[in-house]
Amino acid sequence: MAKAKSKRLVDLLTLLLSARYPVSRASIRLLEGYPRGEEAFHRQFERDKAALRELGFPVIEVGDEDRESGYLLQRARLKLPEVRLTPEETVALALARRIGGLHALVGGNVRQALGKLGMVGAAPPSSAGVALVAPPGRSKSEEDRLRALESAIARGHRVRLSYRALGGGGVTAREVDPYGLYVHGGGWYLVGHDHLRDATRTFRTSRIGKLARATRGTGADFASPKGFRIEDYVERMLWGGWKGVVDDAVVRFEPSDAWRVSRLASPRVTVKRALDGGLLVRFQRANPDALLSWVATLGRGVTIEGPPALRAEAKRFFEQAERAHAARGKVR
Amino acid sequence: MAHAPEHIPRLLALVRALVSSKRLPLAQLAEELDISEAELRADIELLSLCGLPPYGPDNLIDIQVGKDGQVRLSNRVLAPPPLQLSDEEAAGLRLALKLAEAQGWPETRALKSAIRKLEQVLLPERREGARRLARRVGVAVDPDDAAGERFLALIQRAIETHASIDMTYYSDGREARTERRLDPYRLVITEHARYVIGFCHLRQNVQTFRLDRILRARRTAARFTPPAELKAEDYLGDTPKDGANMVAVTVKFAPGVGILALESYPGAKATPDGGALWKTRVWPTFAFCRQIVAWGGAAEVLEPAEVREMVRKYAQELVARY
Repeated sequence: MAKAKSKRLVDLLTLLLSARYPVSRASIRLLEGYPRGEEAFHRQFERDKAALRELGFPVIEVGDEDRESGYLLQRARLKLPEVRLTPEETVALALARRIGGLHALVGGNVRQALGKLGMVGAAPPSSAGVALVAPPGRSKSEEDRLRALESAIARGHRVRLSYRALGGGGVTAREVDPYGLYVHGGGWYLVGHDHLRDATRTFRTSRIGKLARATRGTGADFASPKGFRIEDYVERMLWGGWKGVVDDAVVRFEPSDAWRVSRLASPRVTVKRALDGGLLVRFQRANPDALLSWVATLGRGVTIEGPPALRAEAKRFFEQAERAHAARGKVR
Repeated sequence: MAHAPEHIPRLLALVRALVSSKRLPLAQLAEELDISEAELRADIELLSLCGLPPYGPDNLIDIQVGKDGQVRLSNRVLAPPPLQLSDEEAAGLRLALKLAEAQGWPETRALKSAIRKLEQVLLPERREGARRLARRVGVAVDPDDAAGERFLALIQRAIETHASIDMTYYSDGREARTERRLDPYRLVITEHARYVIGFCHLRQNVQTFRLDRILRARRTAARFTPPAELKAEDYLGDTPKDGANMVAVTVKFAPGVGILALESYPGAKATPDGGALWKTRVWPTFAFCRQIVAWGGAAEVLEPAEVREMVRKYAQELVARY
């Protein structure tokens, strides 16, 4: 089925792309794969036209009272004017394809873009120096979900989704106005207005089950916050957080770990050198949970100095880890 | 079989590539289109049946795979021009640029100018749409990764010229700095990090190094001969070639973090209580201890007992700092 459809669409495109004049319905009917009956042909052709338009091919109908109507691709909206790229730029685009290929959504979009530009096989085959290791078992459903979300974001469509929140709260149905998406490590997150909580929320896309548009019609369903930039939300998530915020958190880096500080390239931190060569890093505002779990991954050379409440929480956190690994048979 | 929304662009990309290059290796095309060689062969066969009535030899797309593994296109029945990009495709390029920037690739600059040139020839409303969408799709970078990789360019260059490098490396496992000479063979990038695989003169074997743990690096005048064949996959995952000292561990995750554990470790299995069980092989190092302790008691090493005790001691040391 799918194969026959692909062939029919390629034939139709071949016909439309090669035509200098409007293509008549009669010549389209000669293509393989179209049903013979007038009614059945009409329905099939309507569906194919819609599919081509969805794929970005501007199929238009021309004709008037006297003449039979014909079909054309609108050249000006179809073709990309020639772009002269330097060899370095061509190589850089090939790199973009490879880096993007590691991430669901990005890879497909970049690949399609380069395919349209005729840039497949354009760069010298990847230098033997770089290898990519794609994550194992990326699911097709995740890719489809991300495409659907991206399309809803681009069009301003409200979506209905089922969400499995952390902490055993079960699955809830939500209606969300999707503002944006971001990738963090290996995961994707949706930022949007959650009508259930009546607030802006972040959803990890892999925890979304069912997903569908909540409304009908062609227009946008909502207006995003003015001047929305996903980076602002990402920053708020990583540094500020949605719930509590702690001001002036101080993290101490032992001399052995001072090298890590050179990687904290953010205007939100100030660094002071301690007498022993260690560094005191002050975070203007921070999300206490995020800060604590980040510090926990850094090990023995990095400790939370203050404020006292956060320091106490860190202690409790590590005590729990210690207790979980107490010798069996003793107090757990 | 792929559905039309992805299949048609892929078929057209294949034809377009051959319109400009006449012939290309099957393997390279498959890699760039991100499909298997079998799928690519199926695509080629399908295209060879496409064309115009009366579907004679002159009206069919003449595309085939030669015995030499080259794919050839020998007529122009279908010769699609470069096509306007959709909002998603153009925004995808910008997102790839954000990723390249965050990771510190030296090609970022050229990528930026390529994207600028491409956007200039987009239809005005497409350009606007793509920019609007690009403002809504982003990359989050952890605070300790904000600087990107400083030595990416240097290592790339060393790999190309077979130059050994001297580096200061922070070993996550030992939590210590070491000075080493490295013959860099391959750069490996994953979703999470960038690595270099190479021969380490200090340990006298082939090892994997994380780029963000290289604190200093310098190219030397020494040259090396790279191995004839090296599979990056052999050095990653939980059964790498250099993994003789790895041990099998079982980690239990509490019900509250089951979902999170499954997302973090693809090999973990859900348990009936809502938690998860992860059986894997690891190097019993401080790096593993940190990984477990960072779950704050929600992760527990069940076995082996030595590793469990090692994690306990590590946690105890952390507690003592507060």
